[in-house]
Amino acid sequence: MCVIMTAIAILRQAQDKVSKLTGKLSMFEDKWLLWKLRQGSSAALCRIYEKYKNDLLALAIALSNNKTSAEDVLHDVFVSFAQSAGRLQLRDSLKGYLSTSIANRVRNLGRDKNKPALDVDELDIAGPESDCPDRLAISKEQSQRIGAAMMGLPYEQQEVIILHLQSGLKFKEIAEAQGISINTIQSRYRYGIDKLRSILDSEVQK
Amino acid sequence: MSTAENIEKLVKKFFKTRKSSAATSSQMDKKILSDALTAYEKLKMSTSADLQPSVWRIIMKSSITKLAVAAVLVIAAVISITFLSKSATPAYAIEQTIEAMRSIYSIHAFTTDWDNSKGEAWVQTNPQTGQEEYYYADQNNFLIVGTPQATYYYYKDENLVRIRNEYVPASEIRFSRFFEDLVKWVQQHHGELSFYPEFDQGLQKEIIIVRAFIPTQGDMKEQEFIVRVDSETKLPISIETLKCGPGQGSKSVDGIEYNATIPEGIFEFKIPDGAKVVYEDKNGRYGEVNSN
Repeated sequence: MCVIMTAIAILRQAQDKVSKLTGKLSMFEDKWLLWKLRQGSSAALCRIYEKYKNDLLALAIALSNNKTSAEDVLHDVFVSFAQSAGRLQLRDSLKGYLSTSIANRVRNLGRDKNKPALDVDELDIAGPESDCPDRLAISKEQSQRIGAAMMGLPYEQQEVIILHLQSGLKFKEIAEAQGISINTIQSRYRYGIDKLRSILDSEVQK
Repeated sequence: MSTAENIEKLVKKFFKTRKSSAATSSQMDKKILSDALTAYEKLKMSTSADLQPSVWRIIMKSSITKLAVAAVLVIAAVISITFLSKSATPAYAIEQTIEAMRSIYSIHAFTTDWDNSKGEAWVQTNPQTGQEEYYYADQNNFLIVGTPQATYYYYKDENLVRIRNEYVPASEIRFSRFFEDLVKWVQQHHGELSFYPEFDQGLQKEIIIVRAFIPTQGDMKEQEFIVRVDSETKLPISIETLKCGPGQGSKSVDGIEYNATIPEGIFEFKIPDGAKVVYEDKNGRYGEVNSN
């Protein structure tokens, strides 16, 4: 038992290291792509799109709860990015820049327009029958409960939770992009998680 | 009772599951890429100046409008900011810099962009009008040469030359009238302009720091940069961006030489062997050849 635990711990450490290294390589590639973009390379623009399109679409769907609006948002953000490509000078990550652009555009659209909420079935979420180990960890029923609980949060809290847990943005990046203090962002996140816990716990007790 | 950590893990898994099922369709990819590439090509073709090395953007970009003839008088009346330094440095007034810059006929600048690439630029100006007549800017893999007859853009890594059949100004403003426009710009954007003396360790003498700050306005993020001014010549010796939004400024102009002898032939652009040459006018591309 002890040997297995140790092996798991070692594997997790290795996984963390690989993940960090992959992240660094990805950022390095982004810097190179941005540099190429400023030099006028259309291929760089295509590569950036290919690299981030699905993540950005998922983010737009999570924030807008509407797949059609999400696709429009992705289109507008990317065209706008192409229009400003020659002048772009990023201090933070490219992923962070694109993700906050998505969030800003969804917010500008007015999230109320995006309702009714997306039916989780529409996204074809894989159920327990999936052969992917990651997916096995969460059932369709659980997904529906969490999705519904997320909808019960104020939009500001949903947004921070999605940007942090789904897109992996740091609180600092979110705060800078939204022009508000990091303390406010952290508070929104904390309140949001507490409320989610309370909603989900109360459902279990029922 | 779930802990916050458990909830975070659960929500993360939920997002991961949803994320894995969100994918763009090939039709959507085609539409987005087509529109994005069109926008990008349009940007490359129509706004050549925007793609020039951002070395001059610190100075020349943004909404700084063209210099009014009477700007000096306005500035003298509105901003007669002077101070007495604590040392033996004589009193400084911005008018002294304005006056000193009006005698410039050549500028040689050394620059650094956000990717830490180093660059160099030469500008020949007419001291009477302040207009740049020729310029040369070399930043990493991009070179631009502006002459009264044509403006040449050379993308070294692609061996591509774009030739615009007219003089494309290096900027919206004239460097030799930089401070006049700076003052006007700060006023228009309700910003702050401050001056203070500082001892420069490298130069071993006191210099004047001019700090410009523009608060966030609409889509434009707050901007802050400092200009170091030589207390003897009253001329700027370096410029550094401290804060700016994406695309609103380059990192720094590390050194500036004034009225240096311009290297012979530096403004004579020669098309490199084998380069693809694209000819443009203000309406866009009108010809394309491959040089031998």
